[in-house]
Amino acid sequence: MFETTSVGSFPKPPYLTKARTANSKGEISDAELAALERQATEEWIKFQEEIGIDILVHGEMERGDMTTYFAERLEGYGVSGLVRSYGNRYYRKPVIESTLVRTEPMALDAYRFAQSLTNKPVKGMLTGPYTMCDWSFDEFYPSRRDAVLALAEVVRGEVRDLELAGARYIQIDEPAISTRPSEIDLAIEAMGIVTKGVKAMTISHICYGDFATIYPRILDLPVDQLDLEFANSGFANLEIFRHPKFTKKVAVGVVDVHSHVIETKEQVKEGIRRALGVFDPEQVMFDPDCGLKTRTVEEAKDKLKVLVDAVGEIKHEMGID
Amino acid sequence: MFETTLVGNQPKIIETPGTPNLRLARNQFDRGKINAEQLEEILQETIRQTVRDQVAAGIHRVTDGRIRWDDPVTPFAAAHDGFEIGGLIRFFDNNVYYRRPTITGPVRFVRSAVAEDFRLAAKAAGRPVLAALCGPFSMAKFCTDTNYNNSHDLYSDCARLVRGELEALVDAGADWVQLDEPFLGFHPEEIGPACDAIAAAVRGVKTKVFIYTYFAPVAKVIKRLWDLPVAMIGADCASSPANIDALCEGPSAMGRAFGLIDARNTRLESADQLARTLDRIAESGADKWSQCWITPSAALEFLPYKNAVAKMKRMTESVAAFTGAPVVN
Repeated sequence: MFETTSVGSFPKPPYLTKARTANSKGEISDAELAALERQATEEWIKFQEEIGIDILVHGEMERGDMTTYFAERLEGYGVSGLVRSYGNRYYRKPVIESTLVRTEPMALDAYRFAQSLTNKPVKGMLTGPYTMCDWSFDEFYPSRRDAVLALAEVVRGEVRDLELAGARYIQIDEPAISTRPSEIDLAIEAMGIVTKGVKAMTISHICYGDFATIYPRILDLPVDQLDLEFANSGFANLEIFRHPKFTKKVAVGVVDVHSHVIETKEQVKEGIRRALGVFDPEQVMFDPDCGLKTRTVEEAKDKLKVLVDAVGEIKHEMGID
Repeated sequence: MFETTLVGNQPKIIETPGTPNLRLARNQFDRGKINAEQLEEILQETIRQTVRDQVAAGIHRVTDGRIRWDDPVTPFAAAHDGFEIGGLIRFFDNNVYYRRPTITGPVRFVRSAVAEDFRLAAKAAGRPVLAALCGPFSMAKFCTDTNYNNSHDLYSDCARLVRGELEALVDAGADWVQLDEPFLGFHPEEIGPACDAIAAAVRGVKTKVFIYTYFAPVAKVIKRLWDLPVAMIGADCASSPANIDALCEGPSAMGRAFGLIDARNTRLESADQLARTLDRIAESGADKWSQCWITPSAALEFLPYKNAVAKMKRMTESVAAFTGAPVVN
């Protein structure tokens, strides 16, 4: 109850950003880059432990885009030319070119390494099949349904490997679900393939869409917890979840990852109080709205600190610490 | 019977040999390594090149490629009074983000954000150019409003701003102007106020206005759109194939634009598939409509440059094959 966690990505320290650029130009080896990714992961694990986060993430130091990372490791995927993400930022969008086949675990090494650094639980982090499809070009499968269900089998393999490795929390991000309500049934069917029979706590992060159009149907998504953003909308979208009653566990986003401004402790506490007006204390965890990778390292750390401090004070006020 | 044009941003990374690297230039400008004049020179050359690429692909009515636009709203928020550019937010259901403006004061026209680029494109094109800007309803919807708290006044002021832009484009010589209104299909409950705002912006203006909406079905709003004092209605028929029928059923005096080429997937439409769709549209009475344009479904900037070029060519070649008129480039 009232655990603190994070959604997934953290900003890469400047030395790692430089190293990724150097690696892409062939100036440093993959092994040298991997060593720096491990160094950055260690720093983020240490920081999360120091400030008292309860359920840790490895921070995704090895990943650029959450779809492209997996696509680059799957047989059947190619990458496109550059497309714009925002402003002057570009990325190479994955292209499904033939039958998708998982030839090796993709998220396992990062999980194992991060978990080896701490006694606290670390989440296994995956991108869900619906979002993988929605954020790829598809030149192969005859329909979106065919592509999503093929990806569900791929992600299912990842979940199985993470669970066998001891992951107690497995997060399967589906941020695209909230943007195309007409396909919610397909997303639910695919997640059913991914999580069937899994004993670990399963989580799905969804953000920046029109939640009203998928609620309460989203409660049928076969995961234990939904991780949702609220701070960016000023908690206005909380009201959507008041009726009918929210029946799953929920991780409530209480700091805005799209703002440079660090929330005050009182602002975060007010957000928590508002969330507790809708969700039961037994249901909730608290975290940032989304991955913090677009913030600076300092901004991300400050946002995590104020989150932990605010949750701590609320717990104290409620006599549950 | 059919003409081709484009309805959104073109890719900014142009791979035609000799074209300056706009992405690199923006990075250099941000780091202070080039000045505003140098960046402007590269922006203008990129606009000229995107026009040349469209001409080479045989597009009948080209555009300036909206090279300065990161999205449909921030160019206006930056140029006019009443807006502050805010944090990143997802652009509809795409893995693309824009900085959502906040309306913090009265929305007022200051200076045109688009007229100069229209002039530049017109000079480079040697053929008709379609100007474009954000429509008043979507301009309001793209933003967070902390000033009006009253949609009527907000839409009215956005309409006045759009009117100012339209008049600037008329002065620049634009004979056709596209108003982007992607939110129309997503908010059928507001179609009345939305149409009031569009009508207020365009009534009596001395250019033909084309309303284009994308990503959403238009069945619930199309009847109101036919009553607008505009010359053409267009819709994204790749995201919502049912929009083809909705567009076919309108009054013959109104032009139509069919967004047939999927701007959000690299898979190239087959020539056969396009021919069948053009045949279906033609059989619906297209020869009686005032205009019939064939377009991509949305901005080709969702695609890498080479795919965007391939899609433009497939579109113009399919139309040429159907009409029997050669591709002119």
